[in-house]
Amino acid sequence: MTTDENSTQGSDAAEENDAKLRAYIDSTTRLPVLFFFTSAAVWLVISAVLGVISSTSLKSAAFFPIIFTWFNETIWVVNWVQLDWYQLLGYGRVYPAFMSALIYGWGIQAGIGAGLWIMARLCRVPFRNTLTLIVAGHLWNIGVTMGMIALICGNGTSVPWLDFPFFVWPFLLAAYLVVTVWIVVMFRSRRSGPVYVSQWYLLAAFLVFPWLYLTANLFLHAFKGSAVMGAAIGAWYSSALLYLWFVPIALAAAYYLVPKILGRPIYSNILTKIGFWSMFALAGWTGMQRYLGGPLPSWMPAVGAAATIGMVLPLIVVVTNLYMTVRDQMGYMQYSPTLRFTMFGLLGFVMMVLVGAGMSFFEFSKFLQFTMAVESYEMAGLYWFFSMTMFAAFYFIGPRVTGCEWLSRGMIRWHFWFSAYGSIVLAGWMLVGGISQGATLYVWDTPVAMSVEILKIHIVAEAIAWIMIIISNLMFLFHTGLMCLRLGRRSGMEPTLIHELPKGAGPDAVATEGAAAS
Amino acid sequence: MDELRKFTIKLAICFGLPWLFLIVLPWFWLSNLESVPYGDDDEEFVGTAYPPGESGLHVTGQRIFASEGCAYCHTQMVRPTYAGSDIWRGWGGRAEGGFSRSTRPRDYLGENIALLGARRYGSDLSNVGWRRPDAAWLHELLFDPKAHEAVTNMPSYAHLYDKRVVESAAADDAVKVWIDEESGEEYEAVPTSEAKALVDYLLSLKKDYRVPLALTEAGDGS
Repeated sequence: MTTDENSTQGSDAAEENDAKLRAYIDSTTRLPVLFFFTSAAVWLVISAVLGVISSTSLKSAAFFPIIFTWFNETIWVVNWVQLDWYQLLGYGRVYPAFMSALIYGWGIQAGIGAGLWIMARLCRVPFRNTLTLIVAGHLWNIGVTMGMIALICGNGTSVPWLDFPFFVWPFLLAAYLVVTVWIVVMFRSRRSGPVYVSQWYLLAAFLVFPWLYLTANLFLHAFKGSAVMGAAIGAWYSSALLYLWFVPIALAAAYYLVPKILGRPIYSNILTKIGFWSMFALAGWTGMQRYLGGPLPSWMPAVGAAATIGMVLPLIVVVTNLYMTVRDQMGYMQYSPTLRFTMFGLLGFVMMVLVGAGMSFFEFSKFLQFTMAVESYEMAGLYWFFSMTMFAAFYFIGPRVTGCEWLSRGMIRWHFWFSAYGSIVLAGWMLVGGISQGATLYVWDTPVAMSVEILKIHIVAEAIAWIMIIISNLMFLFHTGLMCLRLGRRSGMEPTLIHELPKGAGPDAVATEGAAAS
Repeated sequence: MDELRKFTIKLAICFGLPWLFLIVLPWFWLSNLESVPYGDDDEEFVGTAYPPGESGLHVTGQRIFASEGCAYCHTQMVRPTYAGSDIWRGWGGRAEGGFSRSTRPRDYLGENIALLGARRYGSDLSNVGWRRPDAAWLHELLFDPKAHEAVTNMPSYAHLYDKRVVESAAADDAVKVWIDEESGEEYEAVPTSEAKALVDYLLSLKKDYRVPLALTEAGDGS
């Protein structure tokens, strides 16, 4: 496991050849990478809209019935609006749809896009048969769309993160296996020399997912057996997906981007190794702490809780390693969009692991279990950490695959601040909401409805956060659309930075951010 | 290629161990659970079994419960007192006779999947069959939650009810009868088969049966 990706040492001629090869690789990856990224970005907007709807339904169950009644009774509105349609927007249907769009629509597709490109670049292998990848991407999107329609129409399974009905998973698995084959083939035909850490993270994430997804779906949909194990497998799956897919992909991107931007190797080789193997050794045991005190043999949630607390070790190691890599260049976050999104996303990783570990103690879980704190944990991982890192990756990858630079530094800046607001509210504020809800629920003689009444102010904050995220991502989608149409900036190919870089400031290899330097 | 093979093996061990010992083996172990007849020590229960077993009866109702997303607000899991206040809230079962207890794996026998739940925006339903034994009450709640609880966040499930003009007399199981202001006709809402299945399922939720002494002494938690 090497930690220096920039080690293409050699003569100028060799460097020039390598630059040509990289440009060629970028041109072959253009279509699939842009396909996965744009469809992911569309799903993110859809999911954020569903997030607003689900928060609204939770805040006031009567809101949509009233709206539909109003439509129904207002003469000038087309009278095909049926009163009963509000059922489609009830919390119980929209919330799972929102999470599924976020996970399968946005998260996994964005991860595939970033993963494919980083893998191709690090292995120095151009894509072949891109058409097959595009077909797989369509298959995935068809699967997700079918699942979403089925969920809204009332066919969900009510297993968190596995809500899609039974007929969806073969589509998703088939599409995913194609991508896995690509990743493995690229890895096998890589250029000789040491393997960079991001490649290991990507390889691991892409190999584990089919195993994980197949296991969970077979046990839930195909084999009829133990009812409680079904619930336990659901909890295990969602945690494993978080720690064995979302976290590795985001870390692969972070380990790739930070040294690239700063033109220096990762701080410590040994820390990289410890961070990698401790996470993969522990992650498979996590998850069942969701049912701490539940009807499972009590060692199962206990193992899950212990492993989740153990995740603090890889957290400390990875964050130290990345922080020490940046060390004196933290100020460059002000200028580089990629570095800013990556380092901000890393805070989400800290938040996620600490909240997850905290909820694994009985002392806290008796308050926080089944409250909004669960949402805080999931959103810290899915939005704050994973999504922010994916944005970072795309601000880096976009110019390379399209051959033009980001058009507007203002849009990048606003995208960052709106998303940052959303992340902090969804993860931080929702934790506060979860604590107040849990404390109210814990007092045995207060009515349950009271705990929800107390929560309502937090639910409004959540809805506002999702509105901010919608705004920020519509901007991102628009910006990306311009790039895809190759309407980006072409005059002078220096990278688009958030603020103009003063002369002489910035790291030595600052030009690596732009497409010109590839 | 050697490096890839070594890596894959290490990864397979890292993930395969929890996969085998946390998922596959417990799955086989727990799917062999069967109801246990009460022993001689269990006095008044001798001759019956725990759980009494009505397996397969309420699968349709559970499917509707799942597809409407009820489990996103209602749990079906009672924690012991050291892990939460569920039992003090009276969710543990019948108060009289000391039946109230936390839930165990055998309580879910016969269900396809235990919908243990994700959040508690509503009350726990493990023993709702004891707490709310009245089908008509549950139908009224599902049709219009505000009719029963002044402060509630539960949405209406009126789409599970047929709204139709009353012909001669209102049906026995009508949840609500009202007169439409415009047409002056009398309307009634009657449960569809889905609503009936859902209520049957809710009424069947009783997870407080006495655990046979033989099981508690074995201490296997199941």
